[in-house]
Amino acid sequence: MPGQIKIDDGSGNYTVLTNGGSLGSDKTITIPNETATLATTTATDLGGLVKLAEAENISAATDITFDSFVNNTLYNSYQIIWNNLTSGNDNVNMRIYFRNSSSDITGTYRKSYWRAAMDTTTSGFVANSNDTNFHTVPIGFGTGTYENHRGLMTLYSNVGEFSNSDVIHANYTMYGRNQTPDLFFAEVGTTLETSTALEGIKFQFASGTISADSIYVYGVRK
Amino acid sequence: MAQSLEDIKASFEAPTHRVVDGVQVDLTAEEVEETLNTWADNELARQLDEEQNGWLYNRQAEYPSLEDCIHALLDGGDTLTDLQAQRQAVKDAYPKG
Repeated sequence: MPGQIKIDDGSGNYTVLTNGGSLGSDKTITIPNETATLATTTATDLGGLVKLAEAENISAATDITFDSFVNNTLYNSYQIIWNNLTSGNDNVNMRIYFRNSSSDITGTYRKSYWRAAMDTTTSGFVANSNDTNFHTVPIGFGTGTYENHRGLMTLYSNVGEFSNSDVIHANYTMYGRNQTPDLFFAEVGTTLETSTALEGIKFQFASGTISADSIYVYGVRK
Repeated sequence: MAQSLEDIKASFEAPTHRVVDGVQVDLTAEEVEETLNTWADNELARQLDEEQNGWLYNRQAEYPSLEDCIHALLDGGDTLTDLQAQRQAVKDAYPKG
């Protein structure tokens, strides 16, 4: 039977050789002695998670911003994963800003969360907590050895298939060693009621620089 | 006691760049100054909050757990006395500001 060979170039595109070979019932691959037909398409057609943006080996930046990954036609939500995120200043909290047109979206960022320590008894549940013009991550950062955070966020746009028309939602699970230093695990939700369309996100500390091994942004393909 | 705004600002190393869509973008002189001022304002606010409410945050962090409190209330006797002593020790360590 005729087959296809897909060659991934590693940057979101792949080449398809539509008559590039065939696989027989005996599992033998046959390569035809002719020029294959080439077609290039984007990885966005593959479904599942699609990497939309990334930043790696970030050192001492004022902020880490992704301003152009939102596409509500293609994706119904977004996954953001950060790894070994650290602060340049001791005893600070990270702030997360939703973005539009390369500017922060202002308003009341509502918040609820629970956090559980893994090496002390300090734990808690907090509801109906608000921040103005940004979301404050409820686990502090320090500059000591191994004081870093990891997290996975699911981000829902206020425009698109599952829109509530005026609400941006984000929830994230994070692990970290805070400035005490205690080991924490937390589940956090934040909501911004706004008609300004979500286009991006920014990570920043109240003071001092931000560093990270990596932050990856994925779209969940419809 | 909180530091002065000038001292806080001077304590920061001037930032050089931000990262946008994975690309390093150098800051202008104006952006560096603006960032340092914002950092200093935010750090001063944190220090003032710590000065005013630090005793509360520390007590909350170090009080015996709710589980221990319930256990002591149900048991009474020495268990309750010990728990009250633990709470008092935390209060003594962090007096109201």
